[in-house]
Amino acid sequence: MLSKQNTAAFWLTIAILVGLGLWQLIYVSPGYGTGLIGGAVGVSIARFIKQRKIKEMQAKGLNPYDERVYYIAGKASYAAMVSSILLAALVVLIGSTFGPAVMVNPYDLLGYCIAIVVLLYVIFYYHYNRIM
Amino acid sequence: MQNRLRELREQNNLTQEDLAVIVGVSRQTIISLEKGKYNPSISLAYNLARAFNLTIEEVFIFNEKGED
Repeated sequence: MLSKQNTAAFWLTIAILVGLGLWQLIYVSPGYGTGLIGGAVGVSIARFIKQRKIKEMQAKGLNPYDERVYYIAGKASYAAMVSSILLAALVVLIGSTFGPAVMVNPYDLLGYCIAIVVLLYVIFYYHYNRIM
Repeated sequence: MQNRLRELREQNNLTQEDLAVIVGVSRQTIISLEKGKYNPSISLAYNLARAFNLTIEEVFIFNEKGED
């Protein structure tokens, strides 16, 4: 997970996000552009802190990505998938039955869906990491 | 699955971190194993048993009831 390809892909993604953010900030939507740049900076800082911890563990001869980590990640992925499907089904059922028809921006909707799935994954990961 | 990891580790004057380094896992994994919260893979169980010059059966006690 600390391979050169992963690092290159990460920084390429950050550069694209910052580039898009700057373009949005200057020419299109300052709010959206600020959000993109802020997100890219935030993720970079979080990754820097995580990488430092990983390097400390590796320097001690410990394996930060052992089988337990993959086991927990698998359980968290499954739990996030099942709970997001159940949540979506519940919203569809209740919304279709009782709610008014609403027009939504599909890009916003997809963005919210991704954010919810990622958030659920993080919550389940920390939960399983704590109890196991 | 129950195990004798804590007992064997203490007998051999090893810290959790020492054992983690020997078998190539994180200290958190050793903690989880000692508490019986995580069941190791065959290869990790083998490496742990080998770290103490024992067989897997001498380190891990399989319970037929209550296994997930």
